[in-house]
Amino acid sequence: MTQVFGYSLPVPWWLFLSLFLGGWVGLSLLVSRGFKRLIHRWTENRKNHLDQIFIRSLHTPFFILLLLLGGWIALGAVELTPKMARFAQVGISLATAFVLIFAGVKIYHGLLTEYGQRYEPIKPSLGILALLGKGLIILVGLLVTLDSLSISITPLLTTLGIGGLAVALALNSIIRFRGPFTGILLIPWISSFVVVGILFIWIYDPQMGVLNDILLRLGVIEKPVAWLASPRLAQISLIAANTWKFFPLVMITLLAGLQDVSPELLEATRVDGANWLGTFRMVIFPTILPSISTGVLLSTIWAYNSFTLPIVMTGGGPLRATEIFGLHIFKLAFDAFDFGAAAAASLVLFLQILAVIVLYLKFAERE
Amino acid sequence: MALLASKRARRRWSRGLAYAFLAAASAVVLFPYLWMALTSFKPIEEFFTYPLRWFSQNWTLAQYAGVLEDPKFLACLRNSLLVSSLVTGISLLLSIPAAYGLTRLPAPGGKSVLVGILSSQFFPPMIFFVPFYIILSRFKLLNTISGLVFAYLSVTLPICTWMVATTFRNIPRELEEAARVDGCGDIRTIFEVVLRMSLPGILTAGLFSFVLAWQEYIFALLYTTTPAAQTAPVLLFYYLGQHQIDYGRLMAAAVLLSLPVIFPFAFMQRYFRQGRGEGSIKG
Repeated sequence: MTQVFGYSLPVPWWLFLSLFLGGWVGLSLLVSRGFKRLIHRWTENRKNHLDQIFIRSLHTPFFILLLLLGGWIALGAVELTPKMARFAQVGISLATAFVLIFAGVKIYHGLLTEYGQRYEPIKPSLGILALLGKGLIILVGLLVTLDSLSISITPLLTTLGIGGLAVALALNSIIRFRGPFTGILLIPWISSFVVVGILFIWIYDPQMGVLNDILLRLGVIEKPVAWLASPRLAQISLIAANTWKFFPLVMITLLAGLQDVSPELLEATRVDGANWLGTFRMVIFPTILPSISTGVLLSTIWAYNSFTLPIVMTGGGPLRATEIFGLHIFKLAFDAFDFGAAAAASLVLFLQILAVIVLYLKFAERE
Repeated sequence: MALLASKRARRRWSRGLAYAFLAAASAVVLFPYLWMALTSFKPIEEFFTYPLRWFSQNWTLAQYAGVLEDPKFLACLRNSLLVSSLVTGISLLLSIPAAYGLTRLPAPGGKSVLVGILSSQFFPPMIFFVPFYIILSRFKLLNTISGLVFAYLSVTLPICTWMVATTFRNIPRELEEAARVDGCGDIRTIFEVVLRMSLPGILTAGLFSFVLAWQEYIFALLYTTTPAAQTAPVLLFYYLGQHQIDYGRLMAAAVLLSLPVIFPFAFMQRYFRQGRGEGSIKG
């Protein structure tokens, strides 16, 4: 039973929500296509090319704003638990704020492509802006869709990204022992989830665990900490274990991207007097950008989908702090034996992931 | 001259820094495993000493003996090996022709099929649990090794096809044409040129599917119930679920479970970055 604007409907809230949002996406597509046709017809006769760019670039923000409006309506219509409502509010407000920024960037983009021909030096800043937009879009796409633990996946992703990038750069800059180092660093990726879970349970163990032992000897903590017993600590510990497991994936993706960096270009930049930061920014980073976005996409999806470590390490506890969406579905199906609900909920999950993928593909084809 | 020397010195410094960083990262990666190995050689009494004793005073193989004497563990290990090698063999056998057809033959819509294959990787695995359960139970394949193999193939086959297709695409067509001009038949061209050149890619795909089947445990947890078909990760999961967890046995079992993937991988990792058939056109 769901209370929708005071009426009670005989469907669970998330089913209603997904049906509503699905319908809304279709509707927004239709409306925004009409809007696009309208502004194209409207700007057809304009002599000033700049005007056209200005006005036409408003189409995408309009579409996304429409989508978000649906989110706001849904948020008002359905009674969520306070925690979820807060997350949804934060996500949608962030997304709305971002779209407004995005519209500004798009107009700026339009201006730059217009004048870029004449004023060459402006171009690099365009790249950075577009990049920023891309990163933010991915981040917002994440924030909007993620629920309680998954919000704390964002630090996981940044750690993964930075750690993976640093290791890949270091690996790329050495010649001897590159093979052995790569082999060692890939080990977490090939190890079994059960084994990883056991390893970390054993390390986190309050009495017999080595983590407490090290920290006690270093004097960081005064008495042993039960890492998996309090909600917040359990989340952080799980994120650490997850990062350990997933960072080789990012590393190998970036390493593959680094093979495409042209040595001649690097040498030329060095001769021209760029320091390492300059060469990184001007040569390396633009080359590996596609690999970065692929790595971010893959690790986002896998971290979002993977509930194997929580099952082994905490079983979703304490107080369901580590029960991520996937685990929730698993429990619906095989603890509560509510197969129908589980199937519907996994469809909702799939829609969320689809949103991230579609955003990614949209940007990938623009490259 | 002085400038050159300083540049060289700086480069040496940065290289040293890279090595130090990599060594630190490797230490972080290896530490949990080392700790597990150290624990597995300890007698059980030393687990509870305070302060913790890192290196045991009397090394023992008792934990390993305990695990290896357990007929359940051996059966599960055998199942794991069987399932993984079957999955690897079948997915290679099917994915190589599929990849060849999709990349080389004028198949209608070959590219969109490939994209579809890739996007199947993005589906949340939770979607498959219930349908697979129903399908397997209808075909009376629950709690059998072949049922597990079928379930894993649905995951590994697309990935393998994608990986092999990627390596096929990197082989220049001119090479095949040259082989034909020199008098090779179709089949011989495929075996002697295409397959030989893409061997690293094929090996990687095989390793990938082996690792995937070896470490998977959710499907195995759901679709098997007795040691007749259970795989080793499931058994480990059960060890973990017991009221009084026997950590010594758990550690030894985990070490034994990790070895079969880590060793082949250590020898094969060079294929990951090697051999794209570059430069073979020039000569």
